Amino acid sequence: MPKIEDRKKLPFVPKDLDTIYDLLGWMMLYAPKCDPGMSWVFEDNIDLTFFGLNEGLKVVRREIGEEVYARLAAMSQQMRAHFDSDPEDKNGGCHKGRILINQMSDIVEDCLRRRASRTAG
Amino acid sequence: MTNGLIPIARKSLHAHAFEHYLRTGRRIDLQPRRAAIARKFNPYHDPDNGQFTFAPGGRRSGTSRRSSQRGSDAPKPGVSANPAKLLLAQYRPNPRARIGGNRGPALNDPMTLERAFPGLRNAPGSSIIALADNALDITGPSRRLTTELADAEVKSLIVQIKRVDAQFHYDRLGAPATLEGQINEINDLRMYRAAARYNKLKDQGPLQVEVLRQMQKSVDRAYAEGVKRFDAGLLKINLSRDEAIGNFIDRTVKLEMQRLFDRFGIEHGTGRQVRVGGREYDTSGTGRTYRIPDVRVGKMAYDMTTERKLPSKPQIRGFFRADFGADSAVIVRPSQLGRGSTYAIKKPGK
Repeated sequence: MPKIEDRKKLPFVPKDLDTIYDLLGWMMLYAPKCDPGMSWVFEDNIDLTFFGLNEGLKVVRREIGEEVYARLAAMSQQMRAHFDSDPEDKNGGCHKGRILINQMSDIVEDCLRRRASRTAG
Repeated sequence: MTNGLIPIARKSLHAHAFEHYLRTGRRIDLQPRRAAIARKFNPYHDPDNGQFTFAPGGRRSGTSRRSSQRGSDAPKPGVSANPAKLLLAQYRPNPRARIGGNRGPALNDPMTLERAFPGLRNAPGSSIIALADNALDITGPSRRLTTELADAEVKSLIVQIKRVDAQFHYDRLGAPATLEGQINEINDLRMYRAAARYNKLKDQGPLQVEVLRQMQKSVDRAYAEGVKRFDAGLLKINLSRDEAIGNFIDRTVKLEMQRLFDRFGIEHGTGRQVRVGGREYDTSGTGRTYRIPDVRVGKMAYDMTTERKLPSKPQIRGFFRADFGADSAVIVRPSQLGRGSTYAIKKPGK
């Protein structure tokens, strides 16, 4: 078990598509700062969040295919740029970033549906 | 002398002093030079009206100050007693605050869900049991948490954790300055205690309570943000507003619970006693079916939702029929929805 006071913990990286979908939902609520202030046990910020998202996409890269991966990775980069341009959620950049979250969520949802139909078939 | 409208009666100094005495019980010194002359001074007075009263600590004084202020400890003439220490004559300390020994009251610290949901153990099947008032709230209705109390609780938690995990080491930089910081520190240590007991002793009770506490916190926060995002037109609606907000709460809280378990080294996933959003199969019938509780710890299923779910709902019945043998299902709803929003449902027929 890690030490409770150890703040230098590994950032959270989703291990599957479901968790990436959940992470996008979490980002919808807590972007642009990505810090809900849950507790000092969690260190949350925009850098750690995007690191986790991008690494998570790499984890599912084979499952979703190169084309979808490239699209999602590009959207993640664009989203980060929007949030960086509007850290106080005032000039509309953040709104654009959130719309991208919805678009990414739709793509991930499609992948999950395809996977479910493959499993059922 | 007039002020232009009503003539004001001229009063002698003595009349003015007497009137002042009647109003306040204090005499005005008409000859300031006399102040230099030593005289008897009575420091005991009612802080409310300044009138003479009995020495504090006496049977009739009604104050909590001891008579140690008599004699040499009594305030010197001209030096005002600290008003913050003076108590009203009718003041009586809160009797509940005396419970719990010299360090003050014990904080709410349920170690099992049966204590958080009073009556859950003996309730008839399919009963709905409300969460006890302030069961998850550290400060209680009077917000009586003080730094001293928080410190005592932190020390007690560290001792309890060390009993289970001798390697436990906690470097504290000092007591948090804010009430919120103190609450967070206590909650984090309680979570650590629950994790240690689960990992070392396989005791699921405290973990079930802490999971509920963390979920409630996550749900409340996600609901508050979800409503804002919905109003901004950012949440996709399939059926209704509640469903749209509920879906985002679901995603958010599931993610936070996964992170929580990762952070505290609690193994979760398929085949474990702790699961987040996993399929729980029911193989008792002819065909294999499944339900997906948002979180499961042992035989306790947790479901977060904005709607009120009843025991008759197929989803809830499905939890109880699943192979993991749910004892109860805890329905976690945003506190913003009002009192009794979070409740437990007892397994039918138990």
